[in-house]
Amino acid sequence: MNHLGRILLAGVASIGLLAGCGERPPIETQQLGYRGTGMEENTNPRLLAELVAKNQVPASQPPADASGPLASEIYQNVQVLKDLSVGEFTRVMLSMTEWVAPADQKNCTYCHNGENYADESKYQYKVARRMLSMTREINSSWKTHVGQTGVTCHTCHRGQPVPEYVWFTDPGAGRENAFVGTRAGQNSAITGLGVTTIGHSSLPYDPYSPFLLGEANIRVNTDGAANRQSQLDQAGGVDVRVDGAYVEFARRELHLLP
Amino acid sequence: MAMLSFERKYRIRGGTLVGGDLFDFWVGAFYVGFFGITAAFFALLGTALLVYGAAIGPTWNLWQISIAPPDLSYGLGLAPLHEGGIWQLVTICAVGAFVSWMLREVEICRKLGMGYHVPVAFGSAILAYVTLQVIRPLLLGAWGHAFPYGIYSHLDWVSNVAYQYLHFHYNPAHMVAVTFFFTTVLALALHGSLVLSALNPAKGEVVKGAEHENTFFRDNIGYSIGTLGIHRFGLLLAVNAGVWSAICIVISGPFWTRSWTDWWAWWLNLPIWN
Amino acid sequence: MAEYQNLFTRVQVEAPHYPGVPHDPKGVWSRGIKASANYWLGKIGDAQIGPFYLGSTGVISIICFIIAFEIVGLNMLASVNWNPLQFIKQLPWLALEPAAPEYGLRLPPLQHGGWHLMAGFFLTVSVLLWWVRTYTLARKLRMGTHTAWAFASAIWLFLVLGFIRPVLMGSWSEAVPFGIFAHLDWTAAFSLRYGNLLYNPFHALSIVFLYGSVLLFAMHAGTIMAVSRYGGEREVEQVLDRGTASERAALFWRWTMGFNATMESVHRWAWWFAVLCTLTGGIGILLTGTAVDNWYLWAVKHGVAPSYPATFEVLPDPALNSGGAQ
Repeated sequence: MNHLGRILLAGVASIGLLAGCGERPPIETQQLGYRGTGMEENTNPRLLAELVAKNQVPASQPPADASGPLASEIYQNVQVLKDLSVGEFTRVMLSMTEWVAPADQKNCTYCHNGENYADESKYQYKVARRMLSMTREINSSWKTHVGQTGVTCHTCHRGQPVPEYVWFTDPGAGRENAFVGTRAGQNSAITGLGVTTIGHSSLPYDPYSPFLLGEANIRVNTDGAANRQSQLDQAGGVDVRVDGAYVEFARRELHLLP
Repeated sequence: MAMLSFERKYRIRGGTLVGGDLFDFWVGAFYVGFFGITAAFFALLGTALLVYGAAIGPTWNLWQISIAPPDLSYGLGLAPLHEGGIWQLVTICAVGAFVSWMLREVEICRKLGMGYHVPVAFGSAILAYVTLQVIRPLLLGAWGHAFPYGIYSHLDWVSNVAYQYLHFHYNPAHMVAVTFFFTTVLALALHGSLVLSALNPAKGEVVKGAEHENTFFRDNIGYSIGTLGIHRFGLLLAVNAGVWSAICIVISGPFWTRSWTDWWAWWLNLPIWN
Repeated sequence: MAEYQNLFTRVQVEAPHYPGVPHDPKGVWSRGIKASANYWLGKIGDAQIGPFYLGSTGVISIICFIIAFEIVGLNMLASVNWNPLQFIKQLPWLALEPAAPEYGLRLPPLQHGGWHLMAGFFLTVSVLLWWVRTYTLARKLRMGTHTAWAFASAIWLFLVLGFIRPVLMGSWSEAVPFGIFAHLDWTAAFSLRYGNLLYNPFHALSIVFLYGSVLLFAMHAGTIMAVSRYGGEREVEQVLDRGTASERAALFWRWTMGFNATMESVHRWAWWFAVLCTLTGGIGILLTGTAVDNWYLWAVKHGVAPSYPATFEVLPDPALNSGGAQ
């Protein structure tokens, strides 16, 4: 094959390889800022379609009858859902089975002892109770976050007993008696350590604990250009630690100060 | 005339690709040629357009001037002059000027009886530019995807486009390109210093030759690539730096929309350790 | 193109190995005599590998490097519980991290940054000794010491990153981790913490010299290859006795861009571009966090940061509200 032929073949092969192991155009983009700044959002419609298909909301159980005896009057050991009617209670139980129980065990016995439905011996029973009170707590106390939409079991579980996206505190934190080999909470590619949380990078694999469990401040930038000597300043009546550059920035770019 | 002492005998007719004898002359030290005319035309027009773009902009501060491409909504069409049209014209002029420059270099090579290595190497740089400003926007469906013409504003583009992929350092082609860049600087430092150390030896010494150059590197690292080899190697490194840069950006967007860190999942999921 | 472009050697000649120019003064160590010819290397450059010169500084440098390498490698292996398969699988992710900030400049425990400090120490000693080797070899061959001084510029950047800046910042935690992906994470975090390093003018300068070096090497190497038919690669001879190769090379650039270098001066352009890349880069790193805390705001203050029309609703900045927020 001549020189040109070889180049052409290499070119075609590369395109094929790219399309095969990567993605392919057309890509949808949405402009998010001024033109030319590169502020845009790229989405691959094929990947998006896959994601949408994976997250289809399942059809809900037909509405239940709110009248009639309460579940706590008919069933034993009802602690969280005391105020529901039997119809509503059954509806919740059926929905939970669909939304949480594993595919090969989508029946009552995943959580319940089939001989005695009030028996707490299965751990799933106790976990489900905590989950129910958690859901109620979220929907009543966190309206600023979940609004009137609220959450259900499906929101996190999506048909699986253990949700796909979970977060663990660093399990290696206690293993510090090793002479060598501390991971310093990062530099791992072990899936179980939440490597998908950090997108398969070598960044710290527990990015949530310091901010959600701890008091860490997520902001890393200081307010000023000068090093560490930000002065207390009254700027526009706002008590803030800034230096002149930040005030100008806030005024010019953010239109936040007079 | 601005001629070097030995230059006259080289100023012969011939070597042109287009135009024959019509533009086969020099202006001062510069060779003109047909492509000299076109290069000058595109460069002057493009520069004038940049100045015009600055004039209708908010500032004359050299660092802050920015001529931006059109909004994405204009797609691959022509945008109004003040809404990115100037950018489009400048880009056309740029490509015209760069290609003209390269073809002019070819003409000069032909006249001087030289190989075409320099214009071909320049071609790889032009490829990188065209990939960024033409090919990738074409693949993504809008001219607005290209970078603006501004000293700091083009860096904002780099930063924002990179963060679209969360951690651009993980782009494997980017890694290859960066390695070629850094290795080129290393090789250039070594080559420049080696030649200078032979030509400017210790006080009172005679100028050293290739044997000394080779000995220095064989003593130091066990291998000397040689006088021809270093230029082959340097050319290879520099051209690859440009080519892999083009590759790394053309795949970002058209052929990958996720975080570049996630690309490495294929390695982690290999059956041999799963 | 049917014409041969001199990119790869078509016919390799087998010849006796060149033993090298004798050292003056002749040191304690003698150069090895083993050399071999490698066919594939011979396709692009010289085929001869060796003889290698050991030397006292060289030997100690190599030993120190091996120690540093082993410290890093064994720590990585330990972090995957000594499992070789996992080591290979996770190698790009593995790293040896520096100490946490609370240790300041004190010596941290081994597993909390002590090994990193030790590896850094041995690597630094190795690099500095290799510099001494580069310098003394040039002196022994009675050549100029240009290579050593170029190397010094690179060592400047290396020392700034791993030693000088951490000391000025008062904490070993500022140093770069030893790891493939990990050092890239450091780069990204560094830029985010200090307000976008692209606005650091010394970073910009360093990039100018980086890209400039690549441009220069493409130009110079291309030129020499283009006149290799006239013996252009014999640069020293061409400098002393200008031949048609140098003349054509110079005229190519003169006719293209109106000015030209000479066969010697182009190597000075090369040397300075390459050296200034790491020199300015080191300055840029040194100033970050010490003199300047946020490079974007520095640019705003000095009137070089561009501004763009607001195109979307501006979100409130928590830092401007009293009390701050998380």
